[in-house]
Amino acid sequence: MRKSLKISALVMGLFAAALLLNNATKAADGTLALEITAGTGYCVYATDLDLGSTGFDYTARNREGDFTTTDGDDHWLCVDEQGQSDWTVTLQSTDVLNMTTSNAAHTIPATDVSVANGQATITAGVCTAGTYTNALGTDYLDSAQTLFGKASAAGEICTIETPGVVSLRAELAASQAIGVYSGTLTVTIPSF
Amino acid sequence: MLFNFLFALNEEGTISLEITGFGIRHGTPGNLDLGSVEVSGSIQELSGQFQDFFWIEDLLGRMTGHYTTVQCNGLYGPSNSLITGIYLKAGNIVPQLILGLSGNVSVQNSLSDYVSIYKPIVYIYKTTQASNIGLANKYGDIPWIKVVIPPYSSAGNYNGTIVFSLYSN
Repeated sequence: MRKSLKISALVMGLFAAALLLNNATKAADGTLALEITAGTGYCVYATDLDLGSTGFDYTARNREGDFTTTDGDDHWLCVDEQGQSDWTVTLQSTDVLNMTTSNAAHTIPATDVSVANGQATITAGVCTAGTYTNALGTDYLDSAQTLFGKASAAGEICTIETPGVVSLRAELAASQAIGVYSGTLTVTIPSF
Repeated sequence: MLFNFLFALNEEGTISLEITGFGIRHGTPGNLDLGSVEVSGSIQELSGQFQDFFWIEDLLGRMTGHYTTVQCNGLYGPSNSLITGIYLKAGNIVPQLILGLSGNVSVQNSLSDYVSIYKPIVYIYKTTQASNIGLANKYGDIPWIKVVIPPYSSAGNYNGTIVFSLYSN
């Protein structure tokens, strides 16, 4: 009797051990997930520039000024929280007309209006800034000039900002006529 | 999935500036020495041309024109002697543009030949025209002067003043 019990116990113990061993090798799979949603973004820039008042001069000369942006600063920037793959900020001017004389011969052509800005850099986030610089007397606004932009990539969130002011120059001809002058500036910014 | 919307926005603003004027001024070149003649019982003439411009400079650029007059009421000599036969002729009936933008400036037509300036006469002038607006310029003329010396005029030095005056229309 005793032997049979012992054997049974041993068999039960072996079975229990086998059960324990089989349970330890099993695994249950699950999923860990998260989503980062895109934001929007915005740009800080300027659209108006008053080059002020100057007296008549028989000689040709330049009239220059710096833009003041919408937030009262002088740096232009775009905050891309949408993660567009690429975008640019451009500036263009029309001819600057003499509103006093309405004489077409007194026009300052857009080919005599130029812009200057330094290479913009990434001041927040991670992306690639496009390579754009402009110089007074070189980059004229009769066609759109790119001030700064993002070169890549989709999904990357960043802020790209000019290092300093964006300046503008109007080249006045010799004996440029007396009067009040006005032209239209067009700034093209990305839509975030 | 990320969607890239590649739309752009155009924002318009203004570039502006003002060029202001100053005023209107005029000037003369200085003295003219006509030389000398001997005393004579006949009428004599001396003439010569100034070496530089009688000029008018409009740095105002307004529509309203202006005009100048020139007058010499005589050359005074010894013992209160006076020669009144003073005449002026334009150096060029088309005034010379010295500086600035071409405008509506003229020399009086009669000055294509000698005209007495014992009383003031109109010399260089700009008519009132809308096209004057904004135009700044400097015009001038180098006139000739002729003096008619009466017979038996006293010997001595004779001097006079040519008055060049500017008026607004």
